[in-house]
Amino acid sequence: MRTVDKLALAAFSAAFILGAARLPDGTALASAAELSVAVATALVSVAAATPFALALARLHFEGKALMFTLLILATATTPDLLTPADPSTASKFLNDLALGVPIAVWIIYLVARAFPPELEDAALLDGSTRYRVWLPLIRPAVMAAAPLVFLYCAFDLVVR
Amino acid sequence: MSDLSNELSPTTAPADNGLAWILCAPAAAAMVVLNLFPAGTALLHSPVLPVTGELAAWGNALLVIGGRALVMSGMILAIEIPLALYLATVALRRSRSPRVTTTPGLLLAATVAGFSWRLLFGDGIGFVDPRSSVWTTILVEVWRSLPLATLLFYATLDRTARDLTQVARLDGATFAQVVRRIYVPICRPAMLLLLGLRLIDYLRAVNVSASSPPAAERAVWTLLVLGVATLAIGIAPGRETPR
Repeated sequence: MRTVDKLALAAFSAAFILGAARLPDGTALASAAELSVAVATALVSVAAATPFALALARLHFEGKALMFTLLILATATTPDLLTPADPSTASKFLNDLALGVPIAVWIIYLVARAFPPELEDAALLDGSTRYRVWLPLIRPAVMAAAPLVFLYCAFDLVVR
Repeated sequence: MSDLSNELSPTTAPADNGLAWILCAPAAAAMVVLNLFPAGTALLHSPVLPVTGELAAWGNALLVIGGRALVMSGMILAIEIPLALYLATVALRRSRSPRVTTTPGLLLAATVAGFSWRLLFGDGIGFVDPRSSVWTTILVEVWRSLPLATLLFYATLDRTARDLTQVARLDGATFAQVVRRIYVPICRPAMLLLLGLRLIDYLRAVNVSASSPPAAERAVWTLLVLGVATLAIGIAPGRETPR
């Protein structure tokens, strides 16, 4: 994708999100503060979820079953249970993070599990490291997970 | 040679305990602190009703776990997965016409779902009674989530299934055998993802209905299951929190 295409896509996406994020009477569904919290949530979620998903998908270690159990339990316990009566920015961030991390882990894990092991074998044989193989392959999944987490968190509506 | 391959192959390599735990630590800590600790605390407090202080024993837990939303979520999955798989196989065929006819419908699904809800629940137009509203909700929800499911299946099948299907067909496999032996196994990770997303939607739906007074329950959960579609008609999914 060329740079101009990326810019056009970004502009279109921003216009679409800002345009769609309004009720018919014109009031915004999400304030600028809420949107920036959602951006931060998406970035932090993906940053924490990527190594977790890679370890689950590509490494053998003791306690893997425990990590899977933790992931399933975290997916099953939704942050709506935890919402304080009057959410502040910090509590909204933590609340969204509790939803964003498991979602991002699942998306990245499913992609990372499908890497061909031959690539890792070849890289290790040539004296390289696993990260040089993992990082380029995982990039599309990360780029997919971040917007999805953002959308889940940005328009998580609360009746005020 | 066997030592070398043991060392190199990630599938047979010795345990990477240290590295794996370092990689897992941030997300694991976040999940324990943000998900498990509050959920455990909530479970501990769950036998007592928050407002009145009455002892509800397992009543609260049953309210959260059981209910119509669980049945509805199961039915939505049971309808949407075969339908999406069918649409994906239709789009996978070489003929261009099925793709041309299905794609605009899929792209418009969210908008159409929103307008159908406006018709069903709008002031003066709404005609849905509680019994049919369950089926309406299931229908609209299937319609809404069908594009994502279809695209997921299509993307998964597009990469790998064409050659396998051709080989299987040459060997005399029927369409049903191709679906059972090729399409379903390849699409299993995508199905898992759909199941996870549905689980999240289900738990959110139940949470709202569980925290609402009985009179408001019906209206709240039927709206909530909609998610994105409600944006189109300007009705936000309600969430009631104890003050």
